[in-house]
Amino acid sequence: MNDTIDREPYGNPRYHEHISITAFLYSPGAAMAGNVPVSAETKPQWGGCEVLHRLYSPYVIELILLDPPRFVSVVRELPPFVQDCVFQFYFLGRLPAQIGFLLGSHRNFVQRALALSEKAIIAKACGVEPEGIDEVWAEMKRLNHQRRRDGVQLKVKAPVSLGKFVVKLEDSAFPQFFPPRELNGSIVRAM
Amino acid sequence: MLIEQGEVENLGEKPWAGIELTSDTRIEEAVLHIGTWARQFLKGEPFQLLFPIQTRDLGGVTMLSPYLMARTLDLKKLKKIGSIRGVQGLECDERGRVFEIDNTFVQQVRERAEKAQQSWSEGISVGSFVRCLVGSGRMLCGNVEWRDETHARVRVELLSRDIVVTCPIRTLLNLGDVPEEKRTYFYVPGLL
Repeated sequence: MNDTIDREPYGNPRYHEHISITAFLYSPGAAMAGNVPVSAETKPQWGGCEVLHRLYSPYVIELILLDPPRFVSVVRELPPFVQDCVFQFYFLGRLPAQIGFLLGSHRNFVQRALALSEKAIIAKACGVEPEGIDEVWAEMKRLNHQRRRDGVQLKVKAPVSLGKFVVKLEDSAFPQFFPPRELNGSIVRAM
Repeated sequence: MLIEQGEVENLGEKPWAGIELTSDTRIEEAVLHIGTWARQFLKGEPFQLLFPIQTRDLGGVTMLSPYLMARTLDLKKLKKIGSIRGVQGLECDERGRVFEIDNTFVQQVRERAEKAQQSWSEGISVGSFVRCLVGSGRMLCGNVEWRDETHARVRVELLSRDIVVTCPIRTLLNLGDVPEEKRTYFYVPGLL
């Protein structure tokens, strides 16, 4: 993987070029057939997702796009708490605060878990043991144990108005119809 | 989805205006902003916004019509809607007059949108594999444990804990076609 790639790939043609080349090297037939979504242009729902691109690791996205089952098998080796963070964040487009609410953890821990998971996923996917990877694993295990142990089951009740067709703007549940928003107001979209 | 504010009975048969969006990928963002704008600038004046959703899933929404439709007592007031991020503006003629859409037509679109919304959750029974579409369990998948006329209880089996979501059935998407081996709480159609 190329370390010089910008970590904010949205709108950066070099990133898309890099993804395209990687896809071609990985599987020329699939890349030429267009089965592999290789850039924001070929994956329409990515358009306008600056926040998604800012939060997400381009390397992890690359692995998800090129070989989803491998990504899942690599993530399956992480501690359960970290797995839950990664799957919800990358596949379901949920924000750290939302993930933390369900997992009984502060969003800072979720963000930390996501940052650590990137290193672990890259190391596992590439089959390498970079310097400091042991500390990464140790910290992930600590995060797995720090979360509140307030029962293995969480009960959540959604407001009744979410099931209605006619919605009042004054209804406090109104924002819950829409995807979560980042600080700049952009809506985060799932992959 | 019909979003309303104020005493909408006063709108009677008043015509609607079409709202053009800048991108298909920012529909929900634009609707949320229009709602915030209406509360702030129309200040309780009757307002209706028809957001005709055909499908809703992980990738966002697809609409039944190419435009959103809105009305208030004076359509000219809606012209300022063009300043909202994600909104191109109202549908106007070359002189800048707002194209008026007949209420009868919009009510037909509304009926179709309502039927579409009901179809997402059709056939859900105890044991069904579903996705929660809105609320705090948004986009999580799980199995229905219990249901009555209007509500369902969905068990989402995360790896570190179980979540039990009680929600209106209309907020669930029936994923009955998903093969058993692919039924995970993070199910992504077409990717896994």
